[in-house]
Amino acid sequence: MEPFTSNGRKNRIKPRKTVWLFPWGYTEAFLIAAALLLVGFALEWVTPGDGLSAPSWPWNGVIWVVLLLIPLLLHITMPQNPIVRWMSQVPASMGAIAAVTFSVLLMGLFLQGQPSGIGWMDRLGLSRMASSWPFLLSISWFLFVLVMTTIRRSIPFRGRNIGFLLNHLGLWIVIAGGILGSGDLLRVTMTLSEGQTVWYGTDRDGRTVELPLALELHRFHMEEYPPKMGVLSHETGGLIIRGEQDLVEIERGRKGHMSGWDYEILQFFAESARIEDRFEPLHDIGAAPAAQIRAVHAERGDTVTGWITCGSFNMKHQFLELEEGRAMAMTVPQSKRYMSLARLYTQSGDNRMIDIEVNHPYSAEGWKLYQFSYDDRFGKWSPISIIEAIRDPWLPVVYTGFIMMLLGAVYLFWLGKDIGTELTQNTDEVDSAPDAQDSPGSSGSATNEKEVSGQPAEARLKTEIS
Amino acid sequence: MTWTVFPTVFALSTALWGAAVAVVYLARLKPRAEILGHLFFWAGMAVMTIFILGLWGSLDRPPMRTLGETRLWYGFFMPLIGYLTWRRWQLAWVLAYSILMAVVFLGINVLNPDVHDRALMPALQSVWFVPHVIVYIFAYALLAVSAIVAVKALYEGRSGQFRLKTLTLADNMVYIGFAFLTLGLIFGAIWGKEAWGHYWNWDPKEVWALLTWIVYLAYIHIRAHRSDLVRPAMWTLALAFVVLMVCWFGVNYLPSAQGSIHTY
Ligand code: HEM
Repeated sequence: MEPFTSNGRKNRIKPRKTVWLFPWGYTEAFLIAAALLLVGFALEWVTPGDGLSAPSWPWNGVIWVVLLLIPLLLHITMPQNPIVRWMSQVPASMGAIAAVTFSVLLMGLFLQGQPSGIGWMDRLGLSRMASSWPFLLSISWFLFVLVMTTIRRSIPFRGRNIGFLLNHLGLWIVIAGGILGSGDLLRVTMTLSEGQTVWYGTDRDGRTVELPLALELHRFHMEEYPPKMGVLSHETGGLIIRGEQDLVEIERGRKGHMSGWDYEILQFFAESARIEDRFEPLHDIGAAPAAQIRAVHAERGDTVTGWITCGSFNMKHQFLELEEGRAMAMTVPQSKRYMSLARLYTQSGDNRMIDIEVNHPYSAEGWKLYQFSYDDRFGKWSPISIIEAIRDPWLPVVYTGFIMMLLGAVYLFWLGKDIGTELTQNTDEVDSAPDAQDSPGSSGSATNEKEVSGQPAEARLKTEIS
Repeated sequence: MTWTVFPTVFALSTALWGAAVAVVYLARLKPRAEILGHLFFWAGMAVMTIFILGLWGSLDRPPMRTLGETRLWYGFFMPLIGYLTWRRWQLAWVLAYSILMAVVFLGINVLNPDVHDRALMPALQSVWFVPHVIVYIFAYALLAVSAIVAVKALYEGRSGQFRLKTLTLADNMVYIGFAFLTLGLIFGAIWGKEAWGHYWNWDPKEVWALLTWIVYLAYIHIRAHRSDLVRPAMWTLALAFVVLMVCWFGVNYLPSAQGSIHTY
């Protein structure tokens, strides 16, 4: 069965329709989308501020219900109303999708989050599109059309619409849940110092938020990758890197060649302290990696031997001067993993040691605790650790939508182009109302026949595309 | 088992997978030979599996800390996805294509053993990193093909040689590619929740990934609704790939990308 046959001659033979005369199609959809954006920018212009934010519970819950109820009522009370029908079809969807795409495109082009300094751009909300009126209006229209579509296809429910439902309702749940849920999202940072118990956090506006839990930092722990070394140019102040061999990980016994010098790493200590003109291994606050290098100029044969270190907050870095303007230098090691070892106290009486590592948040009392930051002047010796505590009560809603969309994606992969066939069969039934045939926007006009007006589909398409 | 045996593992699995592809193509003449293709394919998978498990055991942690280690997973899952696609859609070239990509990834590990220790920053050391990247690579690969098919369709249309088969192929590629694009977005969101605290941050890379996704969404709906609008649909498909390329490479050059968390 070839699903991609034309939806018939009738659309093309029909005379051009005047705008706003029923049934509506693409023209009306794009006009409405443009109008929404215009109104949005106008609102933005006349109401300066730092942007919109979602209301918190219970109002976001109320909006959620209303967003579902209105389309449901429309569907139940006036299913044959031409506007109601149009709102659940592809042309209206394409208009809504275009409006959202336009606002997201602006987001993707201009730097978000900080004012650009260009008056009219900031006044139109272009530097914070996600909280602007044009985005709010277009995404609301998008959600409305999406749910209208979903309702029309799902009531009464048919088993073969399951894939459609998973994708469309899943997406609706994700977007509506994400936007409305942001009204209840709390993100605060807790700055922990060793031995102190902290039971509050600070939000982005500097307000203090009391938490149902407390953390006492036991120790901040960081593992690092070995440092690297390279040849520094004093003119540019940067390393001379022409290839892989010019920046190498330091390990004892390593030999190689860079920038005209043959080198050998004689000694390497991951943690050490300077003692007179040499280094000794030492595990203590402020210890830094150090390596002893011997370098021989490959042509002239002159030899230099000495120590290099990248230093730490209380130890000065040290280069090994090779020749005029060139020195061997060590880079600051990169962190491999870092975490906070802390004692957790909760209101419900829990008291236990936990560790909070990057990528491994810890959940307690409806909050998730994330390893967020540390004092990078001190690196692995940081005396403080910053934890981000996040409460997002709508997360299960959004994840429900994710799961539906994941299943929907599997369905899409598995059925692929067959879905098109299903659409045409399905809409034939739904749109069997008498007015369906004249509606250019109605997907009911898509037919499953291989031939329309006696012409094989392939031949007909040939004439159409050319 | 350690990286020292990897060149052998690589040679073995490449040979087995290569044989599988060869047999699959030859089996078009002799359908009964196809069973050999399955055998070769799964033998290649077994070799990779044994190596990964062995490495896991010797490292005493999941091998997911370095770029070399993550490439191992690409090399494991790409053929699997390709195999699934081939089984489902009889698209033998997708199998060949994904095996080729896997061999390239694994080949980098053989040619450049140094990179095994190249560090992965802590935020990237997540179980979601590998699935996220794999499904995106696969989606991009298929959608690249769909763009070529779109251009072919437009060319055919111009020269009056239009074939319905071309159109069907384009749709198929998009449905499969779009499914993987969706998986990639969602895996990325879940990973973002675990690593950065929220599933969506309107980061420029995220914004462009969303835009890419939307353009393919538009294509699907144009096609599903008006199958006679062939030319606009094919233009959309070709344009979609431009958006995809911006998302992939171009984002970093846009003013919006100052301070993006996606440094790769
Ligand atoms: C996860 C995202 C989406 C996917 C995978 C998806 C997929 C599809 C597919 C495959 C079809 C045609 C086959 C079928 O009916 O099952 C379809 C139809 C449709 N979609 Fe979507 N879609 C998505 C999002 C949207 C959005 C955001 C809208 C609107 C804003 C929308 C509106 C429609 C409409 C109106 C139809 C026609 C339904 C009918 O006439 O019965 N879709 N969609």
